Parts: sequence; structure tokens; C-alpha cells
Amino acid sequence: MSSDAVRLFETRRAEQIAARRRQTALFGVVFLAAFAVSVVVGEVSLERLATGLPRFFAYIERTLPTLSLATLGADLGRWFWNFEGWLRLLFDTILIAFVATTLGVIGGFLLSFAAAKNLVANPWIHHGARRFLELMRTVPELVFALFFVFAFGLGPMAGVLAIALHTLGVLGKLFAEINENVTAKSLDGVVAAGASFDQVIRFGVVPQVLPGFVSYTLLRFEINVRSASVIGFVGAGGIGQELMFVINQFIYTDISAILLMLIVTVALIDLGCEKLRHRLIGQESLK
Amino acid sequence: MLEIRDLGRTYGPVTALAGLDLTVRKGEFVGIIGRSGAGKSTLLRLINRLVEPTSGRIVFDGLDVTALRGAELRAWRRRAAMIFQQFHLIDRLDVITNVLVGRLSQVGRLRTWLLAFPPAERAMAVEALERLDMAERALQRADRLSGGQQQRVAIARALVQEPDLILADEPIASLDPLSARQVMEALARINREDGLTVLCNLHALDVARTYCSRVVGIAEGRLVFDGPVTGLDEATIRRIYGDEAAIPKDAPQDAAA
Ligand SMILES: Nc1ncnc2c1ncn2[C@@H]1O[C@H](COP(=O)(O)OP(=O)(O)OP(=O)(O)O)[C@@H](O)[C@H]1O
Ligand SMILES: [Mg+2]
Repeated sequence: MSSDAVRLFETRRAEQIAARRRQTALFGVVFLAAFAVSVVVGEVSLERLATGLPRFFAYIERTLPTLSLATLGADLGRWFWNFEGWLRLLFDTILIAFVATTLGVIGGFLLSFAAAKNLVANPWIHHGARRFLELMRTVPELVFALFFVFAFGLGPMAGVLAIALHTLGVLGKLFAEINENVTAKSLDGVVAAGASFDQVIRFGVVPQVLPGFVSYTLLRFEINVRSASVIGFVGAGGIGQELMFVINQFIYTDISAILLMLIVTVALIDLGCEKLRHRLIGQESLK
Repeated sequence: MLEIRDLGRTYGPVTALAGLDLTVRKGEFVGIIGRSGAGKSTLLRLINRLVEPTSGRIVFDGLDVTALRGAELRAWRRRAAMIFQQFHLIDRLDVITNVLVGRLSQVGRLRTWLLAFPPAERAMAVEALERLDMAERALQRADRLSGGQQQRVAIARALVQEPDLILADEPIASLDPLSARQVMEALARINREDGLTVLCNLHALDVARTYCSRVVGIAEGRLVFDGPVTGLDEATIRRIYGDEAAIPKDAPQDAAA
């Protein structure tokens, strides 16, 4: 009797493993094919890489100022001649990221419940919410920014809106997935007491998902600071706008000065957010 | 009075409950027994309307429970308080807030979102905890409590719903014997002092014998016994638990699920 069960199990298991292998092999073939096509279409060639790479480094070299040990203070002063102005622009950039993240989180939070299959019985609502979030996610921030610069003019407002919409799309989906992992246990307890839909969310879902939401939000803020510095390229405010200007005007040493400040700022924010995130996650596991 | 007529629920090809008739008078303590998968949980969840019936009706004091929608349905759920085997508390919230979940249907939306319950509500919750000897723990997080303590918090949550019915789904199946006794005694006391009707799913027959005035046996989704505990002879037990279950005379002691 039981050896029958074992045999049946073993055949099924073998079938399952074989199926999985086939899938992996198929995936591998598709991946290689896609890679080959990309190389051809993208005109990736070692030759071009070989000729291009030195030019890349030459450009970087040209942006670097000449510093000498004897006159270091004065040299640095000349290199970072607009330190305060750039600092203010960097601050603007962080503000753009901050406001955009906040708006995106609010929108993503609200939509994530509608987009969670386990919370909304009506398929129209959760499919609708899903598709909307997808759309917001797939349109690149720069494209949104171009539209908004066209609509609202040059400046930070276009940047904020562009990043906020993209953030809403990304976080809404991530939040919805966290929501879908909520245990039915905590939902039942609240539903059975006669709570309304929003109360079920507040008590059955929010306490459980909040640590995850906070962690993703901080991660997104890091990413948004980077986005906010690039988004100025199309005129949507912040340090990017200045960077684009000095690049176009071939003010070489300004390029390196701004980039250096930008890299340091982004690195600091990454570090800060990471610390905060890990502390929050650590608290979770202590529970 | 709770009147259940021809109640049924199927899950695809599986019949969880079929053609069940049952009448429970106010103040009764009814034990529902049956083996695993018999349909006990389904029955209680149908009464609270966590599960929709595929046939039949449930009527409580003239109110057709099966027809309720929206706000009326939520009002009914408040009156038919559930207690679960796994407690179903919100782990990350403190005990008092967990009890106040029982008051959600009575408190304004905005206040509940801000967890700002009025003092009178908080007092009611503390008093309920006090009755279950749990007031000391009111400000602790729910997941810091032992199983027995969590179940007593869940009973306090049920109490503040000011229910007409208590539906307890194997409330002691994941508890040690001492905690199990405390929980059953709490239910018995509430039944006695408040005159609350209690329907309680149980695995262990001896527990049913100790606490229930009436026992309902379910096998494969059908009612196979309904009567006083004294009517539980060996033949009846075989009918409820099935023939192949070689049950010793004084029944399965182990409450584990
Ligand atoms: N959500 C569901 N989907 C599919 N089948 C279900 C579902 N809930 C219950 N069932 C089935 O209905 C039947 C009755 O289940 P129910 O949970 O009511 O049994 P029970 O008597 O409470 O058992 P236990 O003592 O193990 O808790 C079982 O066969 C079960 O598999
Ligand atoms: Mg059950």
C-alpha cells in the first residue's frame, strides 16, 4: 500500500523536475537568442568599445581642474566657485525627491488596497487599479517630465509631478503585493466583529504591512534623489538643469565639480536611508 | 432564538455542510462535535456570514440573517461574535486595541483610523479584560502573550461587541490543559452571568460533557446527533466519529487539532 504511494509520489516528482528542467532550458535558449539579437541591433562591437573607451577617459580628464599642492586652497576655491549656489540646487533636488516621494507614497498607499486581490472581491476594481499602476510605472520619468515641462513650464513642479507619478506606479504595485501576503487570520478577526471595509484595512492589514511599506518608501526615496538629479536635463528643475547647462556650454571644470557634489550627496542619502531601513527591519525580526 | 433551516455549503465537489436543521434557544450552551473536516467550522462561519451559504436560511429572532447586506450585515456580525482556534488577534497592536476591534462597528470611522477611541469605549474594553483577568496586560503587544492569554483577549473582544451569540470555533484546540480550562470556564461564566447563547466547536468529548447542556454531532456535513450530553452513548459516538475510529469508552482526551 504505502510503497504504491511512494512510487506514485516519485513518478510525479520526476515529472515535475523534468518539466522544470525543460522550462529552464527553454528560458536559457530564449535568453541567449535575445542577447545575440540585442548585440547585433544595438551595434555592440569590441572594436567600437576599444576606440571609444579612451575618448571616454579623455573627456573625464578634461573636466578635471589642475590642482597644485602649493595653491590648493585657491585652486579648490576656483573649482567650486559656485559652491553655495550648487548646494542650494542640490537642496532643491532633494526637496523635489522628497515631495515627489511623499505624493507617490500617498497615492500608492491608497491604490495598493484596491489592487490587492485578497482585499477586493470585484475583479473590475482590482484589475483596473493594477493596469493604472502598470501604466504609471512603464512611462519613464523623463517622458512624464517632458510632458509636464510642456504643460507647466520649466521648473521643479514638472519634476515633482513626473517622479510622483512614477513612484505611485512602482510603490502601488509593491505595496499591493505586500497586502496580498496578509494572513487571512488577521482579516477574519476584524471582519467577524462587524468592521467596515476601511476598518478591516486599518486593523487587519495596515499594522501588518506598515514595516514593509516604510522600508520600500525609504528605498524609493534613495532612488528618487538620483532621478531628481537627472530629471533637470529636460528642464524640470534642480541640479540637473544646471548640469545640463554647463555640459552644453563646455564649462568643463564645473561639470566635475557638480558631479562630485552630486555623487557625495546621493551617497550620503543612500547611507542614511539604508541605516534607517535596516534598523526598521531589525525591529521586525526582534518581534 | 436561532433557527437554521436546510443550511448547506459546497466547495466545488466538496460538500462541507448539507441540509442542516438546528434550533438554539436563548442562553443555551451548545457543543458541536465531529471529526476533522465534518463541517463544524463551516457551520459557525456561516452563522457569522464569513462564509456564504449555497442553500438554506438562518433566522435569528425573526431576522433573516442570510438576506443581510452592507451595514445590516455588519450589525449582525457584531451580534454574532466569533472566537477562533488561532485567536486571530492583530499581533502588532496592543491588547487594548485588539479588544477595541470589537467596538469598531460602534465608533466613528475617523476615530478608528486614528486609533483614538473615546474614554468610555476604552473603559468598556478594560472592564472586559478585567473579567478575564487580563487587564494587567492591556498595554502589551498581543504577540507577547501566551496562547491562553491571547484567547482570553479574544473573548474580551467578543464581549465588548455586546453580542447575542458567541460562536467559538475550537477555542481550546491549541491550548495546554490549564489554559484550556480557564478559557472554557470563562465561556461558561459568560453564558451563565450574561445569559449569552454559546455555540462551541469542540474536539474533545469530555470537555463537551463538562460544559455543554446540549451536544450537536456532525458527520460529513450532516447532523447526526442532537440532544443532552447524557444521550452520548457509544453507538452515538461511533455515528459521529465514524466506525473505524476505535474510540475508547471515555472518548478522545487530546484536544490537539
Ligand atoms: N475555503 C474552502 N475551500 C475549499 N474547501 C473547504 C474550504 N473550507 C472548508 N472546506 C472543506 O469543507 C469541509 C468542512 O470543513 P470545516 O473546516 O468546516 O471542517 P471542521 O469540522 O471544522 O474540521 P476541523 O475539525 O479540522 O477544523 C472540509 O472537507 C474542508 O476541506
Ligand atoms: Mg474547524
